[in-house]
Amino acid sequence: MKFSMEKLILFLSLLAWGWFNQQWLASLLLLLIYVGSLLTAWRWEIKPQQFHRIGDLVTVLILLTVVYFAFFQSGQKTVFIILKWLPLFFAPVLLAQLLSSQGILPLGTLFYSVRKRQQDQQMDLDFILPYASITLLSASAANDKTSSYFIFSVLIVLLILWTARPKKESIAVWSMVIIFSVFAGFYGQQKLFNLQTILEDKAVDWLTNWHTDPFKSSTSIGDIGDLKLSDRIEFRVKATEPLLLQQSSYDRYLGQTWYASQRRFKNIDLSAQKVDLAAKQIEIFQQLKPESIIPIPAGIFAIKGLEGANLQQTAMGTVKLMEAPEFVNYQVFYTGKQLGKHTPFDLELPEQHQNWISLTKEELKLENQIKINIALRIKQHFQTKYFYSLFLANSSNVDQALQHFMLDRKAGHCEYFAVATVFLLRSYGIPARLANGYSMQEYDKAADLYLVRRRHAHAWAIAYIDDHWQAVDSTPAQWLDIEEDHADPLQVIYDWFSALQFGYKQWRYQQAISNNEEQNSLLWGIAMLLVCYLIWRLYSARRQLVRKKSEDKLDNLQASFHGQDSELYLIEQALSGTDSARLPNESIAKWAKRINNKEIMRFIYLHYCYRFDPNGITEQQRTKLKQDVERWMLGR
Amino acid sequence: MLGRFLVRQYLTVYRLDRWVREHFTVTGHMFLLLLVVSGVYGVDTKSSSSYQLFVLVLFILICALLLSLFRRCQYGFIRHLPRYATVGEEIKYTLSLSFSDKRKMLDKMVFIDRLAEPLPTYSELRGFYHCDTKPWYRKGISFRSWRRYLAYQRGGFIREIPLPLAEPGNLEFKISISPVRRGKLVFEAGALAIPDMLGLFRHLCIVRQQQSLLVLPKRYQMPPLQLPGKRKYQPGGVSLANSVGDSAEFMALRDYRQGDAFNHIHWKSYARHGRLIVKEYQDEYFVRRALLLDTFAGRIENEQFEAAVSVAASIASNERQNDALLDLMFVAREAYCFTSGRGLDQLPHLLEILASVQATVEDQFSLLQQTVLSHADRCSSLVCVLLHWDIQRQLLIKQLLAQDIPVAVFLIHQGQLQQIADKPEYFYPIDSRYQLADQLAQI
Repeated sequence: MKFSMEKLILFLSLLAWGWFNQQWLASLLLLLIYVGSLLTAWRWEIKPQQFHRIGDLVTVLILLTVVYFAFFQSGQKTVFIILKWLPLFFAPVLLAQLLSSQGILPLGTLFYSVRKRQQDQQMDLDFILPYASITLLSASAANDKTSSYFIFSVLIVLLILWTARPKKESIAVWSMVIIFSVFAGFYGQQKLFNLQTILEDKAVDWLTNWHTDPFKSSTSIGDIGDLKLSDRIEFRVKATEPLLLQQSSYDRYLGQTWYASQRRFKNIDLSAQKVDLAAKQIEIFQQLKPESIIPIPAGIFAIKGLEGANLQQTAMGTVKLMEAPEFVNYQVFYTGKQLGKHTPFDLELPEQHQNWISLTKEELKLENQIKINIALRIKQHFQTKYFYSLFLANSSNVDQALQHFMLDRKAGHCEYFAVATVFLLRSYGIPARLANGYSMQEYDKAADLYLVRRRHAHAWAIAYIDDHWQAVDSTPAQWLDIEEDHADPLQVIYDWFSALQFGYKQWRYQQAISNNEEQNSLLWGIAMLLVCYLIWRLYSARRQLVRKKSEDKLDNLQASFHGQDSELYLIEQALSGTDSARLPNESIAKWAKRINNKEIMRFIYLHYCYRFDPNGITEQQRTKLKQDVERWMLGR
Repeated sequence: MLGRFLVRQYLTVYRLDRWVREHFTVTGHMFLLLLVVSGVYGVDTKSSSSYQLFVLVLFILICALLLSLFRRCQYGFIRHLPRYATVGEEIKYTLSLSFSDKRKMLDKMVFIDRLAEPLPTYSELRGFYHCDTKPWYRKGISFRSWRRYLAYQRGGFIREIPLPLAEPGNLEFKISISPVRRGKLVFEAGALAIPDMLGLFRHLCIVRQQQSLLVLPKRYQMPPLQLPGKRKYQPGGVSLANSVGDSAEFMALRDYRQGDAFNHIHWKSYARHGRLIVKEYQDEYFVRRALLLDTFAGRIENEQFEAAVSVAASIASNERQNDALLDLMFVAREAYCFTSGRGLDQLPHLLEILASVQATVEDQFSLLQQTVLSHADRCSSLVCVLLHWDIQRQLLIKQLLAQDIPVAVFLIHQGQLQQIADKPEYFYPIDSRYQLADQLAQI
C-alpha cells in the first residue's frame, strides 16, 4: 500500500470521528473497510449508472432517517442525528470509488443535476478528501465544548490545504497565512459563541409570550383583535371529573406584567411518596420537551411514572420536569387543597385600578362578609353580569383595557375575568394570585380520556381562604361553548392524526417500559426488510422503465419500414466488427458477393421478397428464413 | 409577469454559479460547501461545535480571496481555428499563449476558453419551447430549460485546460470542442485562472479575443437517389444555368449559313480567311436536380427542423457534383435558390448556406411553391424535405408529378404520422427522434 497524504487525512478523520462521537465500533468498522479496500486487489467495473444508483441509495437512507426521526422520534433533533451519522451514510459512495477500476467518482453520484449533462460534459471527483471533510463536520455533532474539536479541525484543514497548495510557493509565507487564519478562527469562534448567548438573552424577552414562563406572564389583555388559539391537542388526561390543571401562578403585577416573586426551583422527590388507595388521582399522557412545566391539579403529593426524570418545584407550586423523556404517561395524586403561605405581594393593589375597584365594590356591597362568601359573590357577579368574548380590546394599554372591561364593555376573555377577580379579592383583604393552566372539559368517550387542547388554555384566580389556596374561576361557563364554536372545521382530521400519533407513542412507551428486546429486534428486522423491498422496487421499476423505453424505440423503428425484423439483419449484426462486416451504403447483395458467402446469398432472395415484395412472403417462407438463419448462426 | 421575473432571476443565479465555478478550485469548492453546511449547523452554537469549523473555514477563504488579488498576469493568445466544423464531431484547435511578463509559471494554472453566450429573451424562450401550445402546468420556463437553451445557443462546451508547469514564454496546446448546433460558433474571450497561495480561489485574467468558425449541419451517408429523371435543355448553358438570357454554350466555328444571326459572326476569322465564319453554339442538356427545404417550423420541435436540415445536407453531399446541377430552394424572408455542381459552385458553399438557414414562423410555402414551379421545366427531378404533409404541400407534389417530374419526398416527423394519403412513389418518412444515420442508410 503506497502512502499518500489523502489516505492519512481520511484515516485521521475517521479515528477522530469515532473518538468525538464515542462511536468506536462504527469508526473501526469504517476504518477496517477502508484499509481492506486499499489492501485488496479486487476492483469492479462500475458503470456511471451504477454509481448514480449508489448515490440514490444514500439519498433514500438519509430521507428514511429524516422521516423516521421527524415523525416517530420528534423529541430528538433530526438534523443533528443526520450530522452525527454522515460518514456512515456516505460510506457506500466512498467504497464504490475505492473498489471501482476507475478509482474515481462521477460527480453525478452526488449531484443529481449533473447526471443530465452530456457525456463530454461529465465530471469526476476524487471523493477521499470530501469524505474526510464530511467526517470532520460530523465530528462536530459531539458538541465538544473544549478546544479539542477546534485543534482537530485545524489539523485536518491544514493537511488538506497542504495537498491543495500550488507548488513553487514560499512555504514561509504560506505558513504565516495559515497561522493568521487559525488564530483569527480561534478568536472568532469564541466571539461567535458569546454573541449567540447575548442574542438569546435578548430573544428570550420577546419569546416569553409564546411559552409558559413560570416567573413572568404577559397577558393578552390589551392585545387588539380576536383571540384565536389552536385546536391542537396538548395532552390527554384520564380522570373521573373535569379539573383545572395549573401550570404556574403569579403574585406581582408590575408595569402591566405579572411576575412570580418566588422563583427558585428546588428538587423534589414525589415518586417516593406513599399513596393511599383512596387518594384522588389523574393520569396524564403528554408529549414533552426536555424541560417542561407540567400541568397539575391543586394539592399534589405524589407523582408516579416519572422515576427517571428530575422534578423541581417552586414555593408557589409550579412543577418543572427536567431531562424529561419525549413522551410520558404519569399518575398525579392530589388532595384538591393547595397548601402554602401567602406573602404581602398577594395583597398588592395597583394604584391605577383603584377607580374601577371602588366602583365595583360599591355595587357588590360585600363588607363584613366571610371570605368564602365574598369569593362566591364575586364569582357570581362576573358570571351573571359579564359575558365571555374572544374579542380582545380596542386599546393596547393593559390598564385601560381592564378598566374598559369592568366599567363599559363587560365582556372579555378569561384573563380579564381572572385579573379583575384577583384585584377585587385583594381589595377585600383576601390574598389572591393569577393562575395559568388548562381547563379539562372535552371528554372523549371512546378513549375514556379528557382531551386538552391549546384553546383550553385558561386563566383564573386563586384565593387563600381557610388556610389553603382555592380556585376562583369567575369566567362565565359559556366560554367553552364559544371556543368550540370557533373550532377549525378540519379539527376532525387533525384529531384523527393526533390519535394515530398518540397511539403510536403510547405503544412505543409501553415497549420502552417492557424493554422487550426480542420484539424490538424483530421490528427492526421487519423495517430493514421493508427498506430492502422498497429499494428493490425502485430498482426494478427503473429497470422496467428503461426496458420499456428501448422497446418503444424498437417498435417505432419497426414501424418505420416493412421487413425490418428480417433475420438477415442478425447475420449483419453478427459479422459487424469482422472483415466480413457490411460497409455503409453497401447493398446486401453486393455485400454477400464481396464476402463470397454462398449461404448468405441463398437467404437474400427470401429477405428481398420479405422486404420489398408488395405481396410479401408466405408463412412457410418466413419460417424457412428464420430457421436457415438460426442454423447459420449456430453453425458459426 | 412572473415568468419574466423568474427568467431574470435565472440569469442572476447562473452568473453566480458561473462565478463560483470559475473562481474556486476543486478544493475551494469543497471548502465553500463545508462553510455553508457548517454555517447551517452552527447557527445554534449550543447544539454542535460546527460553528468552530465555520469560523475557521471562513477566515481561510477570506485569506484566499485577498491573496488572489495579488495574482496578475499579462498575456496574449490566438486560436488557430479550422474554417468549418460539423455538428457532433469533435474538432481540435491549437491555442498559442504568449506571456508578456517574465514571472515564473505557477502550478495549477488553467486556461478557460469562453464561447459567446447570447442571452435569450423571454419571448425567444417561449417560442423555442412552444409554451403557448403546452398545457398550463408546462407553460413556465424552468431553470433547467433556460440553461439548456443557453447551452444550445453557446454551441459547445470547452473544458478547462490545465497548463503545464513550464518556463515562461510561449505555450501551445490543443483544445477540443464538439459543436452542438450548426451556424456560427463565436469564441469570445480567454481567461487565465491563477490560484492563490492556498490553492482555493483563482484570479481570472481575462483577454478578449473574438474569433469564429462555421459549424456545418450533420451529414449522413445515404445511397444515391435513383430518380428516373431525364436531362433537360438548359438555356444559357452551365454558366447561366441559374439565369435567363440568350447566351448559349460555345462549341465550334463554322461557315456562315443564311439565316445565321449577325452577332454570331466571328470577325477575327473573317479578317483572316476572307469569308464569313460564325460561332456555333450548342444547347446544353444535363441533369439538374432541385432540393427543396421546408423551413416552416410552426409548432414543431427544434430537433425536427434540425433533422430536416441534416437530411437536406446529406442529400446535397451525396449528389454527384460533376454530373449534375443541384438547386437548393428554401424560404427565409424571401424565396432563395442556390445552384451548385459542374464547377458552377462548390458543395461547401451550399453547406454554408444550410448551416445558416433558419426556421420561419409564418408558413410561406406558397412563395416556395411559385419558385419551384417556375424552375420545374428545367428540373430533371425534385427532392423535397418536408416538415408537414398538408393539402398545400400535397398539391405541389401533385402538380410536379403532373408535369412528369419525378419527385422524392422526405417527410421529417416525430412519430405523429397517421395514414398518409396520396403519397408519391418515392416517399421516405424519417422519424427525427431516432438515429437518422440508420434511417437514411436504409432508404
